[in-house]
Amino acid sequence: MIKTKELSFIILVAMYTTSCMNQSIAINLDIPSQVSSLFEKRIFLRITPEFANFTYRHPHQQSLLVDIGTAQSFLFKKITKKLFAHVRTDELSHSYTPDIIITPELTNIELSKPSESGLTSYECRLKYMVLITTKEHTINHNILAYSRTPKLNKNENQVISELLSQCIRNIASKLEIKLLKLANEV
Amino acid sequence: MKSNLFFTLSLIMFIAGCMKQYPNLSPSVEKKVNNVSKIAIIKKTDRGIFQAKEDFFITCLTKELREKNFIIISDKEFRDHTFPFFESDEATVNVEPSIDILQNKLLQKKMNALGVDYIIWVSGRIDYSDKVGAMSCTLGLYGGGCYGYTSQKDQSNIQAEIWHVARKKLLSYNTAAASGKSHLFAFILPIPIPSDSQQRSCKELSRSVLIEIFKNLSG
Repeated sequence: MIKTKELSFIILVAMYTTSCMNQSIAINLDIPSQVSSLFEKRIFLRITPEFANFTYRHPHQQSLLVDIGTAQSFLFKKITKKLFAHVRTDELSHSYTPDIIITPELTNIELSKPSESGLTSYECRLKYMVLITTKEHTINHNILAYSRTPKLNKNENQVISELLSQCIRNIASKLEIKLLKLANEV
Repeated sequence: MKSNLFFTLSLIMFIAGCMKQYPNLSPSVEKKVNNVSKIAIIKKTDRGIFQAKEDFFITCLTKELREKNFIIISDKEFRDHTFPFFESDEATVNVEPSIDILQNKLLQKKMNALGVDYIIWVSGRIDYSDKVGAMSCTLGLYGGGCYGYTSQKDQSNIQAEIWHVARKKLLSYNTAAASGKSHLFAFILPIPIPSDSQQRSCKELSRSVLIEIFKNLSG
């Protein structure tokens, strides 16, 4: 017969363990926000709910979750608002006719740990397909980022968070360069 | 007694004579150099990737140049100010940008705002070889300790690529190498004596970097 104290202890341990599992890793973004010259173009950034709420689940470790949606939405909003004076991300209304419509889509995400790859580093790969529609044409622009970080004496979640932060910063730099070119062309 | 003194003096003279002499920069030159330069020291990520020791070279070179009153901009600060142009891109072959990037008008504006005169790309690596000796540690009821001796040779190689920002050209490519040996003695307690090869190669490189900058200023 299990005593009440022991039972409550077991329940507490079980609750603690389950609460620690399935914790989504948040990414601390490190995208510099120095002021750029703003272009007077009207932009509509189409962020779908799937894109904004996307959570990565590691294929070999189901408890490893990463909140990518928040980070990627922030990245696209930050870069477009940094470059363009008029950016809308909510509904597209009749009164607002955008010069450029940007629709990002995450097409590939890979995260590998040293225990899986046999390497000495953690690796991440991100690939976005950005659909850019202007009045004249529509283009599909692919942005690819790869980063790796050595196995350090840090908490694994922290290493993954920093690694993805690097990867997203890389995507941000490529997106900014692309949009700068586009703004000068359109 | 006399012969001992003579021998000691001879030895000191010999050692002093063997020490490598480096050209000293004249005070006027130092003054001129000091008036000018703001230098960004950046880690070149496509060489010696994940060499944690590379940070040592950057810290050391930064210290050496700061002692000469240069204003040093760190890697992070520089990359943040020049974002998105100096982001290392491992997804493609060209991990770091080529010097042509200095032609970009927007980057030029950012560089002018930051006031950088030179960019120094630093990369380095340390190769270890010939580990000799043996050491054993024991722990018993009445205590424990380590006994033995080991040593390991190493070679530090450091490279610096200097870009002249205003002229948009590669000023020079400097390298420095030094070999050393680290020792570990143990008699109850282990006593490590680290190799000084990193320090020496860094000092040599900072001298050659200073000479290059001086040449550029006087030329």
